[in-house]
Amino acid sequence: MIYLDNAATSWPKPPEVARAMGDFLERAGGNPGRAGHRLSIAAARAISDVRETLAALFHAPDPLRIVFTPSVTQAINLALRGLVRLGDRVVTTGMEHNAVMRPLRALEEGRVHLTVVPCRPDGELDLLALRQAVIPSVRLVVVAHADNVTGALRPLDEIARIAHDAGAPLLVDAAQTAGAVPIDVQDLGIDLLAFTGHKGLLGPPGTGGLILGERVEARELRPLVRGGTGSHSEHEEQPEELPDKFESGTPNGPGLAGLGAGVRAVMQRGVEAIRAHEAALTAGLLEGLAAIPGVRVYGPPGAGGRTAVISFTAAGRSVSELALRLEEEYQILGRAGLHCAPAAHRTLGTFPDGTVRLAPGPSTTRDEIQATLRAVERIVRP
Amino acid sequence: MSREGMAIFRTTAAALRAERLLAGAGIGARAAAAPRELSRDCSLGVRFAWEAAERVHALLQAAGVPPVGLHPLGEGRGEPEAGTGEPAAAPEPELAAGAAGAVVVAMSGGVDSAVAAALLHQAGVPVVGVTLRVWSSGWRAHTRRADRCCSLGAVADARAVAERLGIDHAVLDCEAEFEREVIQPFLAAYLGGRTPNPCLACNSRLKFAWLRERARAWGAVGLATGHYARVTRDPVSGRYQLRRGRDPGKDQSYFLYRLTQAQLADLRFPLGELHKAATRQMALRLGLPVAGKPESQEICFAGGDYRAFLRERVAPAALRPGPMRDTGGRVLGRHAGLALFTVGQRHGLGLGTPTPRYVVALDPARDEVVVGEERELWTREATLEDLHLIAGEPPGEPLRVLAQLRSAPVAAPATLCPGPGGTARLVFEQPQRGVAPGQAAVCYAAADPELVLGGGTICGSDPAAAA
Repeated sequence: MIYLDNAATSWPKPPEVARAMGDFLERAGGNPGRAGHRLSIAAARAISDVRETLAALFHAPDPLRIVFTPSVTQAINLALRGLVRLGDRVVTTGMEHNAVMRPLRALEEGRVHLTVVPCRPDGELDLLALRQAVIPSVRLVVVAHADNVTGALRPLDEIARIAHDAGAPLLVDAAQTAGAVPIDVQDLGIDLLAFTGHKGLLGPPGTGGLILGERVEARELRPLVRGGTGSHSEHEEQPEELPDKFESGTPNGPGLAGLGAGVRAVMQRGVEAIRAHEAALTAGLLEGLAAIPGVRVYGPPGAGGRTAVISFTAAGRSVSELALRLEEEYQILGRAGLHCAPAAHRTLGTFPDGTVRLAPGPSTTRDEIQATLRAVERIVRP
Repeated sequence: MSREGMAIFRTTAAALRAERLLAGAGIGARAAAAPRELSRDCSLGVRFAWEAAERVHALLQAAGVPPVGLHPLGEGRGEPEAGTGEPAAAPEPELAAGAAGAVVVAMSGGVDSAVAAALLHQAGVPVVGVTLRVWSSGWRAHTRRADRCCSLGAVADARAVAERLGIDHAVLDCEAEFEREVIQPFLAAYLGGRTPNPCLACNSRLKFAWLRERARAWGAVGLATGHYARVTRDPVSGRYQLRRGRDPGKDQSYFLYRLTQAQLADLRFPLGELHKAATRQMALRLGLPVAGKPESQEICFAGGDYRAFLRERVAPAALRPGPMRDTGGRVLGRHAGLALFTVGQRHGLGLGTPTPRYVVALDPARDEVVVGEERELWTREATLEDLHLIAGEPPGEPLRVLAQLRSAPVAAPATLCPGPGGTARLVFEQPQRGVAPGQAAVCYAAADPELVLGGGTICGSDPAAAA
């Protein structure tokens, strides 16, 4: 079996991940922050370790400003619903995932103004158009670091400059890049970074978070969920302190312990090394696919401007047939369709049929890429 | 011991961040439960050496993790420092005021101490209930009981009883003391091949020492517990005497043999004259919310499985595998760690011998578990250390006693021969089975079988004397 769906979720996970999750359940079984006994402290410490590890990975200035959420979708919702008020204007791009588009469309119904900056047909963001759209009244700029259809990377430093010039904070959806592409939130000027744990960070599902930069006032951000935090128990109002303000309810301890193990595995190998490995595989895939007549690859040319995500179509073949035969005849697991990103497919001109997406990961080998190319060729040119 | 301080934070995440930052700066710091007096939250504090307070403050401010407060803790204790010279060491000033002239009742949350409080209260004695929160009741208990935030079921039960009786009640945190006086000696004993009795340590070090000191500081006139034992006075010498409880099935004097004359002077055991059935009836009649609670038999912090607790608490390296040999020196197998065995143990040896084998000795110096046949468990003599005699000074000559070697109230005729330095030999008339080092041997007067003379910790038996 060849697993090429790492853009959906990474697999296999490093063995330490399952071990850390088991260890947490066996040895740190208390409720973090809810008591002073040692099992509670052990649990809180395990979670605190993950916060510190992530702060190191993303060069976040303050670990306490990393808020854990059950998913990147929750993190994006927290940022959008927490920050945007009635009458505000939000700017985003035409390559976004539904995790961004759906909450934005819902806000739009509630009289929030939304500007969707179009992208070129290869997915590249038009920075000039963005600059024109980001006027001083804009409350927030939202972009994916890389989209999940073509893997195209956005120049975050330039986008941050454009947003900051207008006085707007930048929310980055790093679902596709956290752990796969180096991210330094301070260097890049990211004000809010939403990440997921189960993709490039090699952790389990059910984990993710939002990193608050120093320009974001926690006071301004409303919590999505309110409830028990273990702190300020005598008050019936939600505490203002971070991260408690946004972390009501018992956290996903085993998941976060697993995430910590995943992130440590990533850091041990090095994000740069993973990036180089995946870029080499991506270059091989791009080159091989381009050589097959009738196959069309979307997104930017070359592997340098994208993550390890390749979308393609083949003349005369439906994407679902392609994906099905790849799996049934060659045990190659990719993904066909719209990938929860109709806006991106409209930009690429692949709506409503979508594309076949192949996404290698840190464990994918060169041989697996060659086998995949042979399989695509045999299906497309029998 | 140098004084400790505690930094209090608004969130657990901040406390753990501070712990890490301080450790990174070379300041020893440890997250721990914040005393209730310092923080009303369930949040953690960070303990550190108080002499580093200024550095701690500056470092945490600079790092953006400012503590809500820095507090010195009492010398070697978990509670905040008292005001100068005031007996206001009490965390709850109201309690200190209410306790003056009253009897402090140690309420565990069980039916016995509840009825003890009720009896005193009914007799018109001013009563204040106090529950010690040792946290470590956690571990197993925590997974088994529906606990409220920050409160073991036991604390809530005790509070409910106090409310029902209409008496004052306070909860004292003594996690650090419990850890130091009960848990650590418990672990050390097992690692040293002994079988400890933590209930005894808790009584003599916490209830009748630590709590008693505090009760005195508040101006309380006495301390009461729900133990089944009686205190009397020798009409001739005027000395206090400890006697078995009236209910032979419930007698707990074995756990009290370390009491001193001073402690007995202000101790009260209101259940001493009662049978357990009467206690229960009384609880029902008073409508006490704990009337139906079952007896607690297990070690409160380790549940029914002390081995699992050991594995949890001691460094893995402390549980070294080693040989299991018979009394003739022949190696029969391997064991996973000396601390996981007790003398007299039959199950879990994994030897598969045709006749059952028992642990007859533990040799920590060689990491050896010595097993033998049933007859090798019997000894005629035990050596004791740390001998304590309730009357005060030891007798000059051997005493005819009834020796009780375990909590079950069965005593065997023996002769107690006091030796130098608090040691003694206990020579039994009939061989005794499974005499485990670490356990207490409590002696009752041969001529007055209910009178506790004292006792000591068994440190050895004489296998050569085996029948």
